[in-house]
Amino acid sequence: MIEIKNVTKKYGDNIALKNIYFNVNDGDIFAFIGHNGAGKTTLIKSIVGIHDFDEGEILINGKSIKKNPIECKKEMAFIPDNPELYDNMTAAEFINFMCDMYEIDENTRKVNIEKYAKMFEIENSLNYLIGSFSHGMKQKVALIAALSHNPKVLIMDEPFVGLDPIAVHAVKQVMGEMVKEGKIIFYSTHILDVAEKLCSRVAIIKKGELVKVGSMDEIKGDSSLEKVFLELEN
Amino acid sequence: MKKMMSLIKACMTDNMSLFKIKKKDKSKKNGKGLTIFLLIIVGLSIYSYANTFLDALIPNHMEHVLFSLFGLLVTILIIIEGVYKAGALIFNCKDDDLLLSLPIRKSTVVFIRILKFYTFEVLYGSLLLIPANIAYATRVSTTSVFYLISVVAIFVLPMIPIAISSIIGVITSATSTKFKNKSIIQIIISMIALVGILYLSFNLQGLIANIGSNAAVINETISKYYYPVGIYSKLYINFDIREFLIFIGINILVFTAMIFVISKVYFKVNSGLKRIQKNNGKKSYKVRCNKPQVALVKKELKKAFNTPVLIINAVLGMVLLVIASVAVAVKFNDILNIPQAQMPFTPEKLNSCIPIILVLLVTFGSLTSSITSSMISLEGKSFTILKSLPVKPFTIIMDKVYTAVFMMMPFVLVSDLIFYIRFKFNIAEIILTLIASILLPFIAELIGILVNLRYPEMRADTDAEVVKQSGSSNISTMIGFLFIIAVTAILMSAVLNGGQSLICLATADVVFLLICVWLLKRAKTKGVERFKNIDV
Repeated sequence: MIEIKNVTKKYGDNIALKNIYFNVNDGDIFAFIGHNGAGKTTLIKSIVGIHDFDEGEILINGKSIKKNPIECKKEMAFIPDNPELYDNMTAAEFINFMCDMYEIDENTRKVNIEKYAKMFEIENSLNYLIGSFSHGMKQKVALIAALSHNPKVLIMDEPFVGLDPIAVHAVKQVMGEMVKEGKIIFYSTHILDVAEKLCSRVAIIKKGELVKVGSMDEIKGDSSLEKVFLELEN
Repeated sequence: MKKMMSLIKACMTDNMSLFKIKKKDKSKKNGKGLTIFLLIIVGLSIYSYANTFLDALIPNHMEHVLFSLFGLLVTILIIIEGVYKAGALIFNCKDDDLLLSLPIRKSTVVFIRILKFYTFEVLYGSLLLIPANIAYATRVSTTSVFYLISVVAIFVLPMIPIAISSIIGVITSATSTKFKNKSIIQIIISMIALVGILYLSFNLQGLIANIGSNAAVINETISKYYYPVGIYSKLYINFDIREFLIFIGINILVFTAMIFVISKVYFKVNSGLKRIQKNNGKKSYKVRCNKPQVALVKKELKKAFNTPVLIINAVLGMVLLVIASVAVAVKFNDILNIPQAQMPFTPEKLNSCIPIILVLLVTFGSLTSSITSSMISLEGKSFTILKSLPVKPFTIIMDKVYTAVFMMMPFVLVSDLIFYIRFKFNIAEIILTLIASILLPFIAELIGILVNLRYPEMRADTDAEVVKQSGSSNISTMIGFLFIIAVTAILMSAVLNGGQSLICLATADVVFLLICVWLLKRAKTKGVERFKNIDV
């Protein structure tokens, strides 16, 4: 479970996040929606421990990201919106490096790398340098590296951007599998119709403030998520 | 023209931010204060260096030779700097796609690339030329023409060395495109070129050692082999508008010709450098388990060996250390034979100082090889990966330090061995010098990483900008030089005042250890705090 309790983040006088408060339960696919600059990436980076925040608390499965960052990070995987990986490593070296960081045993990493490389159709590119990859290929490598250590919480910033249709399908499939195992998927997106179909819960943020949070049905009612979002934005 | 000016403005604004000391309001004054303090110290050192030359030159009425020497010094330093940085600054930049898609000429793109290089070298050159000019003006009566030549020279003198080093950089880059391991080839060619340039400049040392009596010969030699510096020096004693215009014209002409030549091969070399070998994709990949610390060090080494400018910058100081050690080992008997009247030491005293000389050489080599001063900045946007890892920031910081020390140690140990064998060190001398040889690289790299954490530059266009032109690398270099000066002054004055060599060494080791512990504590507290605050 992710518990976000009154999180406030400031950049000088500018308030990027103001009193954000919501929970993400085990087995949830949670969409985090907002226009550009609303504060989505700031909150995501705060959850994964990349950013510090000024007030409030974030708990990952009961552990504070501020007090126990290493323990929290071990349970999470993060995929940034623009995966800037290590260009001088091959895809296999990078995935292996990430597995080393999460101290994954050889057998598990072999099984996972094979499984996900096949799923994302990059098994023939694992020995290529990341520097030669397109944005979409880098995104796939980042996804495999994240999934290879069996995270309990998967946090993604705009995961579908740059992916080909097969990879998008694979991501959806992985999300489904993880949710069945009671794991958490938390991601930000602008693709509202996909979010509407995939997600069990949703939060909408506007200018750093949470404007709506709840189950998909509660938020959209008989309307569509896009309509609700546009109404809130206006 | 308007288009060109907008382009220059955009590129230079981006580039010059590298020199900005990025601090939040509260400590802005401290950040600027440190830079100004370091600049003043370096300026004063060069000023006193110029005054030493003038002491020898003025009695012979050859004071204008100072400008030949400083002109040559600026030229050599810019060529040395440029040889390994030019290729990296001109080619394979992050904004290539943007600039090359614009409706502008190739020569304009090359000009923009070289303008960044030129601007930095003007600042770098002025750090030498301004104190020399001030020293001259305070000792010799001058006219308004002196100031005109001085100002123009600051902007004009770097042009030809930049052209020479850019051409070497282009040849290095173009040659490396023909090989699979481009980075290694670039490192090897650049090192060969550098050693060649160093060899030539060392040959001048003999002449400069006796500057007073050799002044006329020095001036003649410099003028003969490098006309622009000869004419520059001559202008100070005999100003002629025609020669002044020739001086400016030659430099601008060579600079323009170089831009034209490079623009002819720019696309070919640039696309060759961007081409990545793709023939091993289907080979089976290897899965190897490493501890996080080991994996981080391996990752750092891989990054370093794929960043030629970082390796050459790091190895240069270390190569000089080994060369100096060999030179001391080979030439020591010659030094002993110098007439006693010209020596501050007796031969016995000099013999007992050998361990101190080794420590001083290691101090110089280590403190001029700050690898970590750009290792945080080189992460660029991938710093996010490091921050998201379940590894303590201190571990990540120290792994960068270990990597750098690991790269330096073979050179340091080779130097130690040369001294141990040649001068037959006893056990006490071996232990004490070995302790210093281990502590000094750690001190250098801890200073480097702390400075880089304080002044990170995560959005540079090229690796060369980070390694050679960033605030962090320059501040580290200046701190390094101050450290070298302080250690040399303290140890030498202790020995000259009758201090026992072993006691001086033991005391130095204790001081180095205390500095190391203090720096480690800083890395654990301030370093970690700054690591967390870096936002990309």
